[in-house]
Amino acid sequence: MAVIAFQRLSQLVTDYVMGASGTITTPTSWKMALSTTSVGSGANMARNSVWSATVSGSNVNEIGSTTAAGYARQDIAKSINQAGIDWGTSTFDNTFSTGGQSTTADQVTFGAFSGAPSPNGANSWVLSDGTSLNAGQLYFAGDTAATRTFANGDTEKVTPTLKAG
Amino acid sequence: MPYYEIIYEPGTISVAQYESDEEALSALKAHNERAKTGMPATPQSTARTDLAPGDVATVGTWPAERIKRVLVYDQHPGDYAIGDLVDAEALKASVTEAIDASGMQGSVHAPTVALAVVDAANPLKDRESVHDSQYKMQEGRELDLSSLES
Repeated sequence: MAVIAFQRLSQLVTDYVMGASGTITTPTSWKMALSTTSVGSGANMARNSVWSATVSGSNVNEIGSTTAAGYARQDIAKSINQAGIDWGTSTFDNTFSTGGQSTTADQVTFGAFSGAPSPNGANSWVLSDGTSLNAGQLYFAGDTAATRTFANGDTEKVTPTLKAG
Repeated sequence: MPYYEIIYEPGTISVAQYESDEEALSALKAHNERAKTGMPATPQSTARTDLAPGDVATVGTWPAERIKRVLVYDQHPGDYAIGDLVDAEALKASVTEAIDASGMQGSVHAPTVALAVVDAANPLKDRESVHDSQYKMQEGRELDLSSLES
């Protein structure tokens, strides 16, 4: 499964974590989104991708941005192991080339969908911020195992993991 | 367009955006019917041809869940404290409480107080019951779900 860390995530490390920036800050909560765009290997999503209604080059398009049909972004709290949906206790992988610290969030649920959202067909999940569709920052994303096409009564479940190496 | 916080019987929560209560109830009834008959809620999956063979993860499936409560908001309940703007008096109270709780002989653990400041803008709250809202924002109303059982 292809994954990507977008520029803003790197910038949070350099500016917010290292430099305590007051302008490059984390959002009040993380928002999980679904995108029609594949992560790919450079030709689809790119480190400098942005949300856009028109997919062109490296832009990212969100499902339901024309017709929601029950789609909305889901919250993940900016906390560790509290009562709600948030991040789990992180663990460390000491492997030289691929290791790092990783954390997995509680599972989020989308829907129930009332029909086919437009656009439909999720090929990736994206950690973002804000609640306006096709807007906000991109932090990281991963390919879905299959293209998910939604219909009346369907739900989707995503459990994101971040590994910082 | 209103937002609906759907609280499922096991305590799962999702936020959905529908044009109207009628659209919401249509989706919720379809999902609830699947739950009552033990059907999955999984969407249609089409195999990816753009993934390397070793990159294809297992495609998940899950059962539908009965719907317990649905709360209706005029805006996404995650929009609490947009732009990190919070009530000044409430923030002062939170900071004072954090200082009092972590104070040690005239000193205070600054990161603990900083966490209280950060949490003031958190749109999510701890739930006393799995059927409570997960949001700090006050809902506008609760959706009547009696038609789901008819």
